[in-house]
Amino acid sequence: MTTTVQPVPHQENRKKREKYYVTTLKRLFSNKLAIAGLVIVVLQVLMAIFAPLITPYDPVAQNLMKSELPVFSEGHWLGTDNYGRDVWSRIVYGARISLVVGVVAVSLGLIGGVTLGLLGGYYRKLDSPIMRIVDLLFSFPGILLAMLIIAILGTSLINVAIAISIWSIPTCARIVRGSVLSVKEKEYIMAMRSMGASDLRIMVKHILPNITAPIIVFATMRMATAILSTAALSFLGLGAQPPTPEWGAMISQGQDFMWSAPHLTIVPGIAIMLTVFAFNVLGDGLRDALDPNMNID
Amino acid sequence: MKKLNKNWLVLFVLGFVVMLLAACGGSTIPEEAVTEASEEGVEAAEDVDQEIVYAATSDAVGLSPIMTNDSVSSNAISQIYETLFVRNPETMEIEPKLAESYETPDDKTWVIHLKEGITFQDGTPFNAEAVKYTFDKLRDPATAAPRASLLEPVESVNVIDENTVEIKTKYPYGPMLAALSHTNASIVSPTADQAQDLMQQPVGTGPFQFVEWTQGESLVLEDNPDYWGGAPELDKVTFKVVPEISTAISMLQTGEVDFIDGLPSDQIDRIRSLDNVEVLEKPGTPVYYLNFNFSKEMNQDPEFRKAVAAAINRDAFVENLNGLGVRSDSVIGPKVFGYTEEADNGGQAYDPELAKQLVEENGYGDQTIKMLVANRDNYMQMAEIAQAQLAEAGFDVAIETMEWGTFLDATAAGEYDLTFLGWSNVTGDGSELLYPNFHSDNIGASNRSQYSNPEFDELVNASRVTVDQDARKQALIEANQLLLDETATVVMNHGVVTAATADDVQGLKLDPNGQWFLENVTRE
Repeated sequence: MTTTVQPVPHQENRKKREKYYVTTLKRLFSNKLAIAGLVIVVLQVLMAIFAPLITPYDPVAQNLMKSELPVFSEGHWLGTDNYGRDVWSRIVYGARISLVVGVVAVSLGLIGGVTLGLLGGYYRKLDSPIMRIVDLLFSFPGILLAMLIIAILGTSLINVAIAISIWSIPTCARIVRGSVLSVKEKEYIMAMRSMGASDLRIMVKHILPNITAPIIVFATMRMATAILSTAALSFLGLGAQPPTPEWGAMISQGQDFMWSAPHLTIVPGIAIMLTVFAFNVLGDGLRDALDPNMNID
Repeated sequence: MKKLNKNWLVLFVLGFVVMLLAACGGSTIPEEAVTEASEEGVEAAEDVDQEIVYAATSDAVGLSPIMTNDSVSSNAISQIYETLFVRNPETMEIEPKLAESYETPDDKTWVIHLKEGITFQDGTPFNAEAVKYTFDKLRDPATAAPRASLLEPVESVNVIDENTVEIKTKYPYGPMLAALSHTNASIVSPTADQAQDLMQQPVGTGPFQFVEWTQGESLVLEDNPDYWGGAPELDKVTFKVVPEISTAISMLQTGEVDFIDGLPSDQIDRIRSLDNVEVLEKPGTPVYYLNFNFSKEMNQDPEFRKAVAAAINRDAFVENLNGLGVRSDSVIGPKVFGYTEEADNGGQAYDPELAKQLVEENGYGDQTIKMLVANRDNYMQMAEIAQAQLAEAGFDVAIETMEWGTFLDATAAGEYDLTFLGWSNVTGDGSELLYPNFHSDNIGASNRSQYSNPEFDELVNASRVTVDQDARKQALIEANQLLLDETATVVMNHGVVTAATADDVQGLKLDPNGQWFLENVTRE
C-alpha cells in the first residue's frame, strides 16, 4: 500500500510539526490576554469537574428560612436566592452545564460543518448544492433559528445544544470549504492523487490535518457564542427547566428581585461575562498564534 | 491585533463599572426622584387635578360586559356599567345596586324591583326593558357570550311593569343573586347596543363614561355628571397599558402612574418601601391549588395523593409570599360563601416523614412525574418549592414550563401529571368554584383535573338548585370536606388582593375578588 513508500518525509514532517507547535505555543504565551483567557477557562473546567468537592450545598436544596441572603453572608459567600439556595453552589454547577452544553453543541456543529465543508470543497459537483443549503441556513438570524428548532423539538437543554449546533454548521462549513479549496490545489495532494489514494483518505488524512488551525480557532470562539446562546435561550425560558442551575435561567429568575437582591442577577451575569470573555480572548490569541495572516470570521 | 486586545480590556472594565454602578444606583437614584416628586405633590395640593392614571400589564379585550370575560376588561367595565346587585366588600353580603329590592314568590321565580329615575349615559331610561334586553342577549346562544353560563338556569325574563322584572328559572337556582352581581351581568343601554358596538363605544349607567380608547395604549373615561348617585369627584380616569409590572412600579414611584393592582409577591417589599405610595392589601376570594390529573393512573391512587399533600410544606410557601397569601387547607376560602373555619386544617397536614414512608412503601419514586407550570403569576414559585419538597420525600418530579395560552390548551387536553391552577371567583360564591373546577359536568372544559365523584357532584348540585342559603352553605361545606378527605387537590394558598396608589389617592375600595370602584375616589 502507499504507506510503505513514504517513511522519510513522514519523520521530517513530524519534526516540522513539532517545531510548528512550539512556535505556536510560544506565540500564544506571549499574549497576556490570551493567557488570562486560558487561565479562566482552565479554572472553569476544574470547577465543573470538581463541583461536588468545592460546593458546600446541593445546588437545588432549598432553605426557605434563609432566602435572599446578600453576598458575604455567613456560610453563603455569594448569598442565597429567593428559595434559599446557595448561589455559589449554583454558579459552580452552572459552569458544568454551560461547558457541557457548549462542548456538545460545538462538537455536533463541527461534525456537521466539517463534513459539509470537506465535501463541498473537495467535490466540485457537490459544492454548489451544499453551499446553497448553507446559504439558506445563513439567512435565518441565529437566535431565531435556534428558537424555531426548540419550538419544534420542545424545551430542554439537549434541544438547546442541538439547536445551537445546527446554527453553527453554516459558518463552520464555509470556513472549512475555503480552507479545503486552497489546500486541495497543493502539490502534495496532487501527488497523493497520482499515487492512487482514495478520496476519503486524501480528505481525512491529508487535507483535514492541514486545516485544523482555523477549525480550532472557530471551535474556541464558538464555545463563547454557544455558552452565551444557552444562557439567552434559558433566560427566555426555552432552555434549562427549573430548578436546573443554568446561568441564564438564574438571571431570568433573579430579575424579579433586582431591587431586593441584585446579586441574583449580577453574580450569574459576571459568570457569563467572564466565560464568554475568556473564550473570546483565547480564540483571538489562538488565531494570532496559529497564523497571523489568517482571517476568519 | 494589540489594539483590538486593548479595546477588549477597556470594554471589559467599562462593563464592570457600569454593572457596579447599576447595582449601587438601584436603590439610591430613584429615591431622590421620589422626594422631588412628593415635594411637587405638596405644592400642587391646594388645587389638584381630579384625575387618576391606572396602569395594567395588558389592555382590555373590549368594553362590553356581554362579550368579555377577563379581569382587565372588567376593571374598566365596572366603572362604566352597573349590575342589579353588588356584594358588599366588607360584609360579603349581597346588596341591591340598580335593583331596589327583590322577592322570591316560589323557588323558581325572582321578582326584582328596580330603582326609578336612572338613565344611561346616552339618555336612554334604565327600566325593566333594558334588563330584559341585556339578559336575553347574554343568554342568547347566537350571541355566544363567554359568561352565558351565569344565566344558564334562566328560562325567561319577563317585564312586569316599567320598574319590575321577573326571572323564571328552569330549576331552583341558589347562586342567582351572586350571578346577577357579576360584572358580566352588567346592564347595557339597549339603544346604544343596537346603534353601535359596545366593545368599542360602551354606554352604561355607571359613574364614568367613555371618552376614547387607543388600543394597546390607553383608555380614557370622564365623569358622568348625571350619575344617579351623584357625579363622582374624579374628572378623568386613564387606563394605561404598561406590559412590565416592574416598569409600572417605577412609574408609580415617579408619579407618572397613580394606581396599580395585582402586586407580585416578589416585588411587594420594594413597593412597601416607597415613601409616596400607599399599599392596599386584603384577603380575597382567589384560590391557588395543586391539581392532580385524574386521568392518570398514579393520581387515582388515594395514597399517592396523600403522600404528595404530606410532602408539601404549605406554611413555608405562604411565608415566602411576603404576606400576600392566606394559609388554609380549605378549597373554599375564608372570603367565599361556603367556607367554614373547621376546614382550615381539614386536609392532609404537612408530614415529611409520612410522605417518605408512603413513597418508599409504594415505590412512588420510580417514575418521573411531569409537573406542568404556567410561567406567570406565582405559579413558578409554587412549582419550584413544591418540586424541591416532593424531591425531598423521594418523588422524581420534572418541571415543564409553558406560556399561559399553551398551558391552558395542554391542561385542558390532560397532558400533565401535576399542575398548579388558580380561580379568582368573581362572584365570591363557593358553587361558582366547585362546579366549574371539580364537577363531572365540566370534564373536558373547565374541570382540568377530570375529577369525577358522584357523591361530590350531588352535593354541588344541591348547593346550586336550592335558594335556601343555609342549606346551600351546608352542602358546600360537605362538598369541600369531601375534596379534602379524598385529597382531590392540595390548596397552596388563598389570595390576598392588592393595589398600590399614590398617597394622595383617597377612597379607593378594593373588592375581595380584586375588582375596584373609582366612584368615591378623590385626590388630595
